[in-house]
Amino acid sequence: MIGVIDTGIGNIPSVCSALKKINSDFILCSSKLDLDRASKFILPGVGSYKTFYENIQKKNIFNEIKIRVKNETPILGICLGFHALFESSNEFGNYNGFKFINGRVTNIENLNIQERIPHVGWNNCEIKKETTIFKNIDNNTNFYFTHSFTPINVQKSNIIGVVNYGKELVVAVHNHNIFGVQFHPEKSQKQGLQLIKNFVEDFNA
Amino acid sequence: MLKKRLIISLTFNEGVLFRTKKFLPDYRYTKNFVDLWNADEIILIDVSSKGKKLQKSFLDVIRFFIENCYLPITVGGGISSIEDAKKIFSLGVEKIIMNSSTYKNPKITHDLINIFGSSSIIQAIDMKKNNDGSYIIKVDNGKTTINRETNEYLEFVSSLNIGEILLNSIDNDGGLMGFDLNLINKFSSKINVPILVQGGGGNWNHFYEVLKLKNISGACTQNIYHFTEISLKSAKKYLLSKNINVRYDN
Repeated sequence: MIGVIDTGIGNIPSVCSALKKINSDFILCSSKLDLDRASKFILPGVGSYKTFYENIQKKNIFNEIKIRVKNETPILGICLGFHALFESSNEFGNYNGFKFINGRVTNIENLNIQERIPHVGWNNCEIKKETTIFKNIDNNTNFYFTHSFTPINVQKSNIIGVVNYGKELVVAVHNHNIFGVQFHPEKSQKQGLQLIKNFVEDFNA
Repeated sequence: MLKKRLIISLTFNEGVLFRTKKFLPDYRYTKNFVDLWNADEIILIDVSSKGKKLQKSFLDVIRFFIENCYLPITVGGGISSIEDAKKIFSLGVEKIIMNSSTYKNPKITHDLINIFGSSSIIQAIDMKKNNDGSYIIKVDNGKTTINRETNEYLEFVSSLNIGEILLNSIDNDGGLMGFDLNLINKFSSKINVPILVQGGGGNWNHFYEVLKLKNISGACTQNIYHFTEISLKSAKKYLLSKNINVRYDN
C-alpha cells in the first residue's frame, strides 16, 4: 500500500489521480496510524517550503516519517517533497529538511544564471545514473517543472538526473531507499506515470 | 533546455465551455471535444458573472480536468481571497492566475505568494489599445480601466515576486488574426519573469511569431480547431521545422 503523505498543500489529488490510473492502492497519511499502514511513501507538495514544513509539523508526523525512512521504508519526494529530503531550505526563512540526502535548498537566483526565474515548463532530464525509477524512460525525456528553489552541494553519488537551465540543476536524486524528483511526474503524462509506476511496482529496498 | 510552451486556454461561463471574442462569450462547445495529450499546459478560466465565482459547476470542471489530464493545470477567474486559492489548490491545481484582485488588494497576492510560493502564482494583465496607439490595463473581465499608468503598474506587479505574467490583448481576443506583436514588444522587456501571451492566435505562423521572441515562454490558444491531438501535433511539427524548441512526444 502506497502512503501519500497529506502535506495539506498542493498536488495531492493529482498524485492520487496518477496512482488510480496505474491501478495502485493508496491511502492518504496524516497521522502516525496512517503511516503504519503504508509500505512505501510518496511525499508531494506544491507551494512554499515554509507552509509545507509547518503543515507537517502540525500533524506531528515529521519525526515519524524520518524514523520509518531510516528503517528502510522507500520514499519518493516530488517538488517540495524533493526539497524536504535535503538538510535545509531557505524559502521564506530557514527550515530543516529530513537530512536524508546531503545538500541544501536555495533560490535559483543565488546561482547567478541569466535565465528567468522561476524555472517553469517542460525541460529534458539528462539521466546521470540508471536507477529503478528511470526504467523504460528514455534519456532526455521532457518533464514538467515549476520551481524557484533548487538543491546545491549535493553529493555526486546521489545525483541521478539533471537539467540545463543556464547551469546544471540537480532534479533527481537517489540514496538507497530514497528517491526525489524536482519535476512533477504526475503532470508529465505517459513518461511521468511510468516513473511513478516504476517506484510503486518495481522498487524494493 | 527549457521548451517553449503551447498552452490551451479554456473559458467557462457557469461551468459551460465558451470561446470568447473581445472578452464576450462567442460560442459554446463541449469539453469532451478536448483531447490534449500534446498540449503543454491547460488554463481554465471562470468568466461567470461577478458574485457567482467558484460555484460547484466550475469546481466540477477543474475536477474533470485533474482526473482526466496528467498535465499541468492552471486556474483563474475571480480569485479574491486566500480561501478561494486554497480551495482551488486543494483540487490538485499547480498554478493560479490572479488579475483584478492584485489591483484592488495587492496584499492578497502578496500573501498567496508567501503561502503557495511565487512559482505557483501568475498575474494576468488585460490590455486594450487606445486610438493613439498607447495601451491601458483593464480589470473586472475587461470592464474597468485601472487608475494607474501602464508601465508603472507592470513594474509594481513585477516587484511582487510573481511567478509568471500573462499578457492578454483584449482587442485581438478571439479574432484569430495574430497576436498583438506591438504590445508584446513594447512591454515584454520591462518584465523579468517568464511571460505568456494570449489573444489572437489563429494559425501556426502566429505562434511562431511570438515563440521566436526570446522573452516569451509560452503562447495560449483559445481556438477550438487547435484542441485536437492532430492539430497540436501539426502545430508542434511546424514550430520544430522553424527551429522553435518545443516538446514533441510521440
